[in-house]
Amino acid sequence: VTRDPYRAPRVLVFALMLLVVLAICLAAVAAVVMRIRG
Amino acid sequence: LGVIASVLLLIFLAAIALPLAIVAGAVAGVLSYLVAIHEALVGRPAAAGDRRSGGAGQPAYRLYFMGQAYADTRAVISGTYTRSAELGIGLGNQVRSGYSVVMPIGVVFYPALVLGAVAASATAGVALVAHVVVVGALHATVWGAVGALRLADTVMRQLRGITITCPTCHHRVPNPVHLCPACGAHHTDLRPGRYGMLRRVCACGARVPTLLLLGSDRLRSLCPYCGRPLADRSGSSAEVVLPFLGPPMAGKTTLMMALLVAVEQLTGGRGRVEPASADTASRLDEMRRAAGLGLRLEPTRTELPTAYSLYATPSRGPRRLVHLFDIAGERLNRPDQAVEHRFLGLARSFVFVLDPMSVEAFWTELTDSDRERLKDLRAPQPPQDLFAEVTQQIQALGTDTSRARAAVAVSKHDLVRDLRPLAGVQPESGAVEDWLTGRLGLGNLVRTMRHEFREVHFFFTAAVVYEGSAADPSVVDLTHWLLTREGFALNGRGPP
Repeated sequence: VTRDPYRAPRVLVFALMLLVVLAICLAAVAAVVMRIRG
Repeated sequence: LGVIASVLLLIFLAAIALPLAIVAGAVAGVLSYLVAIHEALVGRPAAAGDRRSGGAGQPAYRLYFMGQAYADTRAVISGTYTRSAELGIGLGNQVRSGYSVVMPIGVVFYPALVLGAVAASATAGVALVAHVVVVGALHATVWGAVGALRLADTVMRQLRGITITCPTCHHRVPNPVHLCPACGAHHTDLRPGRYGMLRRVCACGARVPTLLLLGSDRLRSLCPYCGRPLADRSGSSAEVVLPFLGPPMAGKTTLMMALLVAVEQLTGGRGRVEPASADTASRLDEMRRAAGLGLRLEPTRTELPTAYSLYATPSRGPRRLVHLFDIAGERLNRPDQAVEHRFLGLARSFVFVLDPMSVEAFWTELTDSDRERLKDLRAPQPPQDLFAEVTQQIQALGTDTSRARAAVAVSKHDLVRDLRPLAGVQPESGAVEDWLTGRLGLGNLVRTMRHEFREVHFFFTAAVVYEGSAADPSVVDLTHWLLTREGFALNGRGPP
């Protein structure tokens, strides 16, 4: 019996979005650093 | 000097504070989003606020990406906005109350605050757009997977020839009502869909498989038309619908019982035959007990017949669900009830049972003593009219009889084989046909059958079971003919 059937997909989306945000941040930082370095 | 110092300080603050505000705002925007998503997806209590569908829907939770994900996305968007706004308003209030009076810091902080808010909005916006894109992509993926699973399920059923027939009301059932094994809730459409891909979660929290591969056939199932139970594990095997037709007292039920024994013989070895429902098991037990005690079987009840449903597993090849319909001759005589005989429209093989004693030409040829001995066992109605009527019913129910088979079982051979009208008649199909045509004057009947059906085979049948486990060879022959034409791979013919 499942108490919360949405637990697993919510955790999945949360983990996925953490990765996506992290990737966007890293890409943004990398872009800024590249720009500063010329 | 004081003015110069103030200007320098202002320039310094502007050079440091404004970029710093942009970075801080950007970080704050991302953090607002992360806090909001954590609250919306991970931090909330179990299933609080989640809605199960009611009314016309299924008693199950919708798939997360088919409903709840939208609500969660809205919660993330509003949460991010609220968090960002709280941060911005809090900072603004602090600036107003604390630093704005101190020149020139206040002059710098107002524009910094604005820049920070813009940066926060930009990063939070990017995060939210990414969120919507990811959830949308997952939603589309889930729909795609649902479609693929449905297609695979349908194709597999088509390839295996799986159909579901209600043994009670005889409707062909596209989607049975499945019962939740935990709470008994009725799931009217268990296929992969918005309530689950491989499994669905019942309103009670139990996981219910949606696919045959995962055991959906093990659930109890009901007919959606009449609400009566379907055969156990319906939908897992191809079906064979086999109606026994004939006038009252022609010997249909006795022949059907002997045929069941013959099926067991023919599937012998590693094969087996087992009742597909508790109802079939108890009715067969009852009839076997009556037959074992030497009692005459009750005439078939005149209400709409419930099928005897059995799983027959040959030594080789797949298992089949065989529905045997023993229909009272009295019903067949009533065309007004024909519309209820839907099983006639689902069958591809028919067993016509013909009592030779019911034919006047046969009866008049008997001696007085034979007539006296057999008069209680004689079917009162000659077969001709009934067969014509039944053939019409079969065609009216949609069966193309030119693609169907008919086995004509000339019954009660154990009682009449030694009598004068049968002297010298061989039990081969051609000989039986010639005898019916020439000796009994049933030429019209035989010709009609030959004309209407693709294949007709004639048998003498003695519905006798020896020592409870060996049917008479004539019934084994009939059974072999029927089963092989329905695609059974039979190894041997079993004991003689």
